[in-house]
Amino acid sequence: MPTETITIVLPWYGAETAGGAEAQARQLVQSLREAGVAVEVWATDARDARAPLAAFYPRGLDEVDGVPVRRFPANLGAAQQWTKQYGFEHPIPEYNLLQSLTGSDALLQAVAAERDQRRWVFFLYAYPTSFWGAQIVGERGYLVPCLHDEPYAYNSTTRTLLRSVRRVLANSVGEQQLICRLADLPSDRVPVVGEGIELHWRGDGAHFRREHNLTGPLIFFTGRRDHSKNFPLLLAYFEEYLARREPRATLLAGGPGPLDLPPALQSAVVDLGFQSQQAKHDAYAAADIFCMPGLLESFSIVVMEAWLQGTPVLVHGDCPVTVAHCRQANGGLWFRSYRQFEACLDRLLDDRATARQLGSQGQAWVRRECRWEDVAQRFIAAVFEE
Amino acid sequence: MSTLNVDELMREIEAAAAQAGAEPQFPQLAMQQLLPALREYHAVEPRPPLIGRTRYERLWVRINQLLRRIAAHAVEPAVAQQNESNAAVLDALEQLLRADAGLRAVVTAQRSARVTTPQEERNAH
Repeated sequence: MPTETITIVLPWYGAETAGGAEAQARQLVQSLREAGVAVEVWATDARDARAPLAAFYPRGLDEVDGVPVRRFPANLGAAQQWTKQYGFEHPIPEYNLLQSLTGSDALLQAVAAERDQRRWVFFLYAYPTSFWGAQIVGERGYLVPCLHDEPYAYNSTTRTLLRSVRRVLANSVGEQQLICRLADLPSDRVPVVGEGIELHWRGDGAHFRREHNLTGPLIFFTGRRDHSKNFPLLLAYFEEYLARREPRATLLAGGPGPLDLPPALQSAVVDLGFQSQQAKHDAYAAADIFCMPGLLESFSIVVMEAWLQGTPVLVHGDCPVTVAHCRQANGGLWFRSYRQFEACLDRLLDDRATARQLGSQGQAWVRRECRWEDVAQRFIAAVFEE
Repeated sequence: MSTLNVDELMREIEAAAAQAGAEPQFPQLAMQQLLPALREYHAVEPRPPLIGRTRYERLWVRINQLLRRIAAHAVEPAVAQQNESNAAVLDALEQLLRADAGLRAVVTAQRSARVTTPQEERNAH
């Protein structure tokens, strides 16, 4: 077992911290600890992206889930010192963007002071903690970028960051391909470590249908109900589908935030709002199809959770990550147009044997690939392999 | 049981979609996409906050404050006019989206009343 301490660096970390990457980091840290690896977390004292700079956690040494966490004061961007020391040959808007995000000068000073004593793993590609941290530690640095195909990914700072570290750890094959393409890196510098999910959940679909008084086919979506998850497209396509077919299916919309439904969908969409984990897994189990039309996914936990309950998924064909998952698992279909969306729904709702088999193939794949213990072993191999 | 290959299934799906006729248009999606940015930026702030952490930045803030005071008579009326115009555009877009949603509800109800099966729809084309 490696004796060197792995130090995870990210802008926010803690029990009250929201965010997909932050939750992923917390579970990974826990799995590494259980695997017997010495691990520490360094973060700012702010809570999360909702209040990115305000002090929330105590500064200094703390402990989360039995793991030491060192917190530093948060500030915008990074001090001039790093620009002078490492240079910054990128367009001014990219500098301004970097300076507008949560960083910590004190954290970076501490990284510089202990540079050669640890292995550093930076989470989230856009932040000053990762960009400058990676410049400071060089070959001792690793990056979990949680990258997706969005405009920031094409910034020259992103390319520099991806090329500065020893290895970039991808969450999925789709993300690996994107990283290799953007940074012109060979695939062996971008190992797919993946993500795990909690595999113990058992959804009760019949209970969910009884509780909500639902019969007939159900299509389930959960996540932010806005453009970031391409949810308006799902609503528009579903409305069109209802117009072209008998009102044969109900759309279940779970997730935080208000749901602004057009009049045509008032009776065909059930607003589940924010759900408990058990209620969410009951909904996956009850659904005939789980639909995730988002384009900017770097892993998509919800797709894995749907498969865990044996439900086939429908994703957007322009999201390389979720399409790659569907291909690997043989557990779902994808659409690039309304006509394909309609053909997918017709097939999955009319041919129940095919839908069931896709769901169970997805379930078998998730049980095989998404165990946190295995993710921790892949992570350890990626960080300690010379 | 043999593995069901999704690439093979997708070939069938794509063939069915290609035979299904012309792709419907969704103009509401383009309009909806404009809303978040318009809602966030429709009111332009003529005096955004100036922050100076270092001595050099604080000096720069003082110079900016002075320049703003000198230029205020020319800038602020124009900003007020622009804000009025932006508010009108936002209001128009919201009304348009509401009217479009209402109209689509009527159309959806009428079309659902004469439902076709996938096979009937393919035959119609």
